[in-house]
Amino acid sequence: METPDTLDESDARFTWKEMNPLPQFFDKFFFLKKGYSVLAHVLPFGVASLLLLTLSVPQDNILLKLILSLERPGIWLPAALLSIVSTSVYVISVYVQVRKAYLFESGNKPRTAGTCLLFIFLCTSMGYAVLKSVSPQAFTPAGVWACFLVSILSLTGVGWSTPTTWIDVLGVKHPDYRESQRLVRLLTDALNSIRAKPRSSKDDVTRILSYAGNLCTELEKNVDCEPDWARQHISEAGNALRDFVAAVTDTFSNAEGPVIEDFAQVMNCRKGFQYEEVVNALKALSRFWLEWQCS
Amino acid sequence: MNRKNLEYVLALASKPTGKPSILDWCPFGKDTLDAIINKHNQDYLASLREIPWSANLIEEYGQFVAVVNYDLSEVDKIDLAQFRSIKFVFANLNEIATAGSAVEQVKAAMNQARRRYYLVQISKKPPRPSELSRFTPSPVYTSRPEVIDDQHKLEQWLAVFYRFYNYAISEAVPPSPGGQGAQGIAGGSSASTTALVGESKPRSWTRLFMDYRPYELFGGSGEGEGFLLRRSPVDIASEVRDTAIQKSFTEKETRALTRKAVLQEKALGYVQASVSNSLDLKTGDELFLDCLRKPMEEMTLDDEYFERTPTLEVMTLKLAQPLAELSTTQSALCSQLRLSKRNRHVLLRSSPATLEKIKALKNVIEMHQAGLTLPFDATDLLV
Repeated sequence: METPDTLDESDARFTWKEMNPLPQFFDKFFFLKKGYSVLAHVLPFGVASLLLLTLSVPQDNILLKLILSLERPGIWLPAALLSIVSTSVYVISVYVQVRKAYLFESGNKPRTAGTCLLFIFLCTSMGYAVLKSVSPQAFTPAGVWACFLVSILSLTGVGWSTPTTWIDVLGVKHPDYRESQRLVRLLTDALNSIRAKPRSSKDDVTRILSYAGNLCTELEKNVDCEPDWARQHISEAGNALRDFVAAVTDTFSNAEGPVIEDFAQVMNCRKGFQYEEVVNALKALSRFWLEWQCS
Repeated sequence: MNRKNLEYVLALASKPTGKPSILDWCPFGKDTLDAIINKHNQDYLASLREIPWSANLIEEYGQFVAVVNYDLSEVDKIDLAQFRSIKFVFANLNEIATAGSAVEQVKAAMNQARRRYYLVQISKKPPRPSELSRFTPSPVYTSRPEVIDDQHKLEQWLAVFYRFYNYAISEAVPPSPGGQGAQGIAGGSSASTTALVGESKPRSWTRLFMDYRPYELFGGSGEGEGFLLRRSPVDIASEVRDTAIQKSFTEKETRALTRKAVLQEKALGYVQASVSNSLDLKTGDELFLDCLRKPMEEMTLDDEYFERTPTLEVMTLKLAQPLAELSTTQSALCSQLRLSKRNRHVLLRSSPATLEKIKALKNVIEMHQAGLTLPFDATDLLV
């Protein structure tokens, strides 16, 4: 089958959406993988509940005192700073987990934003519900801010090791693509440097084969941790990578002289007739990693 | 699919600024060289599939074009082995006027590689005058027209070039075990297919191929002076194509020439097998048959070399003394008879000139004469 020369992001998204519409759709805006993020938030939510209980149950309702304090302009600046820092810590914690769990970086930002907004909203609502039960008149901007502050301080715990350990004990695993992403970066750099050369050497072939082979192994390790609906996409990427490694090995690993020199141009998708299998494998691969597309 | 048989293009042009390779050069300001060659190969592949040839036949006998990945400024980096694979030199007339040393280097290398190549002079419109004289003397053929100023003309010229190869290869390829050859199922083919491969082979020609086993007969590594004996159908067809194009042969004449060339190889194969048995060759001994082969460009369609001479009178010569002990005159005569090694047996057909030389080397060489009867009668294969 002919592989198109270039594919833009919309093509990739179309393929993505076509395979498993519903979970894939939610997965674009929410860190879904086997409910990992939900479980990861259970402990911070527990902390938030405990905190709210501790603050609101005593006679001198500390939550109300916090609201009163936040109504004074003098405290706005430190409170705002605390809110911003806590939110940043929380967002970064979630982003780090999302990056670790997803092989392809595209979509990580909206996914992180969606996940953070949802849990902040839930946790703040929980705080507001407690507040309303103890003090129905407290629905003011300062009241919302106080609930937000309590919830965000609890949610920063999502990045601690305890929630992760707890999920591990439950036997729920999400894939860890950090090594894969490092290999993808190395492969991209190697590919770009080879593409800029007029002729390649045996070392170039060895380098590409080594990175691509290791990436294959990494993907195989992680694919079992993927939920069923995401596994197909990763498997397809892994297969495309394996085909590429096989084609490069067949054509170039034992080659000499001009054939080895041609490798640089083949990585530019030139000499497509002579090295049809390798060029087609590279084009198929660049459907998954758009940065590998030939110019 | 692997591309086994490739003829290379050397582009005497500069790679475009900012691009890593000559493959990005646009000879006519339209498609890149890579795209032009790719398109030609795809069209040629489609023509082979239309015959129809199987994937295996295409892999074994299809001949495609590839580009040498060096530009005008890098000619000195190309090694001799790569020069031997070059069939076309695409010279950009706008650039070679100021690239004297590169042209000289190419001429010298092609002379050294003993490789005849086609000079395709490329010029953007309006066409510049031909620079063919700068490439002579060197083993050069020229494209028709000499100066090509349009991509379509280049594509057409390449298509005609490989159509002649198709004529030749469809004659030279032995039939498959099923009894059908490269033109195979030509009976059911379309009009355009018939234009490429023509009519079916005569039955007797097909029979001749039945014991055509060149690789089994000749064996060996493929290196050395005697390697031309183990000529594959691809090599024969390429040489026939070149001769046919130079002599402006028709399709029918091209096919007839191919049959003569294949017949000659078959006869030589038989001679080698017979003589090897009768001479009781020792390890390291070499049988040299090149002198028996008539060069393709000297072949004419009506001459008779093997076809009507089922019995061949063959002489075998061998040095009886080490080469170092010969006088200068004797060395020169031995060299003319291709006796350049002590353990080489040279096979010749007798002629008055050869006999004169042999007489002069009376005590220096050993000679055997043998009459060989070819096990096939090819008189009905001439046309």
